[in-house]
Amino acid sequence: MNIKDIGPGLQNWLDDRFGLSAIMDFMKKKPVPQTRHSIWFYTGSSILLFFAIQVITGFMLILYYNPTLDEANASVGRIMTEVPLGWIIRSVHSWSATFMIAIVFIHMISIWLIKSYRKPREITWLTGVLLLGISLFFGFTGYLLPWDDLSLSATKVGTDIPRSIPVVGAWVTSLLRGGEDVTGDTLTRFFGIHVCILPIFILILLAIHIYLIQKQGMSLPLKEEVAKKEVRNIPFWPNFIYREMIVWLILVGILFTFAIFLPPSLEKQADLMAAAPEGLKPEWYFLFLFQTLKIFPAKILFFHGDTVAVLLILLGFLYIFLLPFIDNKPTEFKGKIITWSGYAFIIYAIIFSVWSLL
Amino acid sequence: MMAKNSRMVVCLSLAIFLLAVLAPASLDARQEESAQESQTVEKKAAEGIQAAEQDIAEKSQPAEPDAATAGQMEEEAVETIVPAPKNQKEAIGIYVFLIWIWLSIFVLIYVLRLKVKESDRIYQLKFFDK
Repeated sequence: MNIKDIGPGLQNWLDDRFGLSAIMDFMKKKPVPQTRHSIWFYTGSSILLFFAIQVITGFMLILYYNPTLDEANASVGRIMTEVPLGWIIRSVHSWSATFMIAIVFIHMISIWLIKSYRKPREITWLTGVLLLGISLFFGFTGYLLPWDDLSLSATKVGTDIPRSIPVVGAWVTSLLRGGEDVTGDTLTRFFGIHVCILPIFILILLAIHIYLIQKQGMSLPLKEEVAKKEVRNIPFWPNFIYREMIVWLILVGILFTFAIFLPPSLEKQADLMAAAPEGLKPEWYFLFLFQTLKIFPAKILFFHGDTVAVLLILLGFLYIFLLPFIDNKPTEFKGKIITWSGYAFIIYAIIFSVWSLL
Repeated sequence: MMAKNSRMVVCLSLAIFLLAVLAPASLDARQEESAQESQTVEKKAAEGIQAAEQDIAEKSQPAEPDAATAGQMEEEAVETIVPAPKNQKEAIGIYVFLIWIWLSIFVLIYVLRLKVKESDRIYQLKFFDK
């Protein structure tokens, strides 16, 4: 066998078994519209890139991490001081989580504003919002794992919030904590959720989300569709993939630069009996919710302020989740109001996050 | 023109790869060499000036910190672990790695831009349509 025949030979062998040529043909024919909004198309694959980096670095960290009350903090300390390049692996894991959640927010807002959720892409939106929720829950559960003072206090505050929900609140808090208070059981539970339960859910939802995107194709922005403009298309493979690769390379460079120059530190081991440290703050993506809860008074008429705040936040999430069904007439006045609500959400999130930091 | 560009890109990539592989190795070798040299010099000098050094060391040694201060210092050290390279060699290795990453990214972006142009041109010509 000639060495030149190995490549095509292997390709044919794989093609006979997996039908790769059918997938390639599909990708070559799949059109990607080129409009001034096309830049947002790159956010989806960038999320996948950071997710893949998190899975790889997560596998590396799990080899050394020990999710027990006595060992959790010390094992993270060992990762950072004894394991060769362990501090960089942890830093890349932490920064890729930050970048992933930032891009998930950007992805969701861009789809909201260009109204890509409209018929027949409602389920793509629903799975996307659920993926955002899972990403945030990943961040929340991962925050406790170093088991330092800050993460313990933040988890105490975070797991106490659902208690304000009428009827099921106390049960949800207890379910999250594995008891009445945050203890070693909570740590083990969060670790299990972080490395086992959430990955299963995210993979299932991701598979549905990507399948729907491939099936329905990339959407045209509403303005272009209404104006029935002739839009230039390029094939997904290889034209669009090459462009995506450029974005991935830049993001990987930025990620490593941040990971090397700004690695996260580790505080001393959490003391279950100690008071909450001063200036307690959650991760940046929860700041606006944290500030929203803070501004509510203790009592509003006959209700607890916390209950009202939590219910309003849940109502906001429900509004975002059901957006494609609420925005059933995107070209009319109602549709414009919903677009403006998107801008209002951005302004609210930025102002409240900055306010929380002050 | 295209072939010339590709050749240039290949040469550049090879150069960057070699730089990334050889730079830490040469640094390592240099460090070992200088360590050996300094060891020999130290051996020779140590015999002659050992007594004098001991004298100076005894005089310049600061007073030992009392137990309470030492305990406090230890506690502070345990409180926060700030991640950083373990030694000079690791620090240099990391910075070389970062430079290599960025150089590789620039080279790859250059190649990908050529590929984008080429694939767009082929698509516009409808080369694969039939």
